[in-house]
Amino acid sequence: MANTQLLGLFEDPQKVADAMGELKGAGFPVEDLDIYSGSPFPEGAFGEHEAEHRLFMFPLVGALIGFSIGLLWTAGTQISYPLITGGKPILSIPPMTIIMYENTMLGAILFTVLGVLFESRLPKRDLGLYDERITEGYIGIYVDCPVERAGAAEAVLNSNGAEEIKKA
Amino acid sequence: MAHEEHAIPQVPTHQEIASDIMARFQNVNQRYWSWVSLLALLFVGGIVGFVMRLSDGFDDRSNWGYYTATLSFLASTFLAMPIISAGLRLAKANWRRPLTRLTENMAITGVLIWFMLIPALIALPPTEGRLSVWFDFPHWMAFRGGNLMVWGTVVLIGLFLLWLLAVPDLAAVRDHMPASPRGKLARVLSVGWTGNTRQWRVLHSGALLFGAFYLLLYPTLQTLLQADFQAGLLPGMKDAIAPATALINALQGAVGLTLVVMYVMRRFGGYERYFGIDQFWALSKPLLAFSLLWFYFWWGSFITFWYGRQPGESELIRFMVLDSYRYPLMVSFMLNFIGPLVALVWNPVRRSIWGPTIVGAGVLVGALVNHIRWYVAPFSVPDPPAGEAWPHVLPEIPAGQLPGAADALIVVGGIAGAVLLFMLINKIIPVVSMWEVGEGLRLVKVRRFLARYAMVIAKSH
Repeated sequence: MANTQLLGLFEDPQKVADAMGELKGAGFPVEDLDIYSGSPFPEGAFGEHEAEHRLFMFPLVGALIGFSIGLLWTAGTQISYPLITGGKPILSIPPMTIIMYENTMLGAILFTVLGVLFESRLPKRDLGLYDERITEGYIGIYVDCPVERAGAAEAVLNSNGAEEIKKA
Repeated sequence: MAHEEHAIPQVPTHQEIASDIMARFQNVNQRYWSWVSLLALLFVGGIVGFVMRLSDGFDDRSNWGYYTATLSFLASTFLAMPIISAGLRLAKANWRRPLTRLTENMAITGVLIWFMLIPALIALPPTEGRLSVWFDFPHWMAFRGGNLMVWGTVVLIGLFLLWLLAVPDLAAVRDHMPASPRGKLARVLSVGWTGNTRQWRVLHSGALLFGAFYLLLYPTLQTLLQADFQAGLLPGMKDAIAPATALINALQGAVGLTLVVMYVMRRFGGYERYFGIDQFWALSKPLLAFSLLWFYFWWGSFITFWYGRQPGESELIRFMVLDSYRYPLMVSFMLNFIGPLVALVWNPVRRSIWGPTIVGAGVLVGALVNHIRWYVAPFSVPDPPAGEAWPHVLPEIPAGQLPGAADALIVVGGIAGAVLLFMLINKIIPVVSMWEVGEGLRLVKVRRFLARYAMVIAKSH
């Protein structure tokens, strides 16, 4: 079954909330609806689907990798080139912690950047169905639905005061 | 008795704010270029001063004291500013919305600061035979590589924080800026942002993470700065709270600089409606708190040395407090503690535009003088004779070192270079965040409250 996409543009947030409620009432799955806005609204303000993300896992993995590299690097260099000073142990823990901590943080931030891009599904060369007025303060309702239900979705968007409806 | 009817406060719409900020962002007038030219000239002067020092080599470390003081001043004011953004965002302060972008844009100065770090590290002596956090790590990788990595990571975090929080506004620039190199750059940097629900959720979480990373790593930078560029060069210096002192001073400097920049943007950039009394008033409170902490930490260190009375401690007090660097300490004491305390305890001063700005400017001057004391002094201590370990007591107290022509050029040029980068980035990324201000507007409602109108602000999450 072929799908199509619609983007209804609104100026009034209340109308967006009403349209979202009506779309859900008309049987459009909430996962197929999305909100585009130039600034964020409190979560769930429009009754939209709150997409889960796993961003917090990325820095954890990065930190573990960074810590491991830091440990191998500092311990490896000292063991490879042993310089015994005053009978002290070869591994000098305090300066090692600085490098290990730094590597942990570096790993965490690099993976966070990757996580932000991956979880946001960015970068995108083609903006897809989009309108420049969104960054001016307009709000868009994005509907992904079967072709035969596009008319019903359009009717809901129109009846709630959409200023324009774009189609893919 | 009839009550005076106050005018109902008008809350602007997102559209009004976005078009106003975009108009200011697009406007690059003659005055802007005049300032950029002047700053570029001063920066070139700084490079000339640097080349003069470079031509003398690194054998005489005292030549590099003012250079290092400039580096540490920049790292403790400009580079500390993203902490304000991270901290206030974590605290969910609504009044921060117009000013956090300004503090994030300052992260760009980290690029200059990182490059300035390289000669300062070369000027440091090897770690063998002297006290340092690197113990006897003889390898080049230890303190030089370690410092470059830590500072570099702090700079990277700042730049990632800036980029992430600017992406929605870069998308606005992409959408509304006429075809131009700036518009093209915004298109690249906005990476195809459309502002859907998932992107906003990830942006919120990512900003919190980067902010937390900055807060976690910046103290490490200050610790290395204190340990490698001061304590490791000063015989007898054993101050456990020195890194914490430096951190508190950096936070004070960051708040002071934020106030001054807000005033300049308000006065000369036309941003009056964004940097209002709320922002100045709110920031004056942490400025007062950091000023009190300035004294608390300074006193905490001083009293330990004073009561210790070991030869190394007594000589250090003479060198850094009573004799050679007495006047810089007095200037800093007045501008970083007494001045802010006396001025900011008064409500009318705190609750004004000019009061916190003047205090903030004073704090910056005091911080610069204090950094000169902190880093010119240890750089003027000569190395021990070849083959001998570093002493635990100053063999003789060096005289206070006044700046030469090259030093003056470096100090002025370094600061001008940082301001120049800030001015340039402001024409790539809007200095006021459209999306954050827009988000805040939606959380504000004007309600009737008894005989007056009150502004009610909702929590965003």
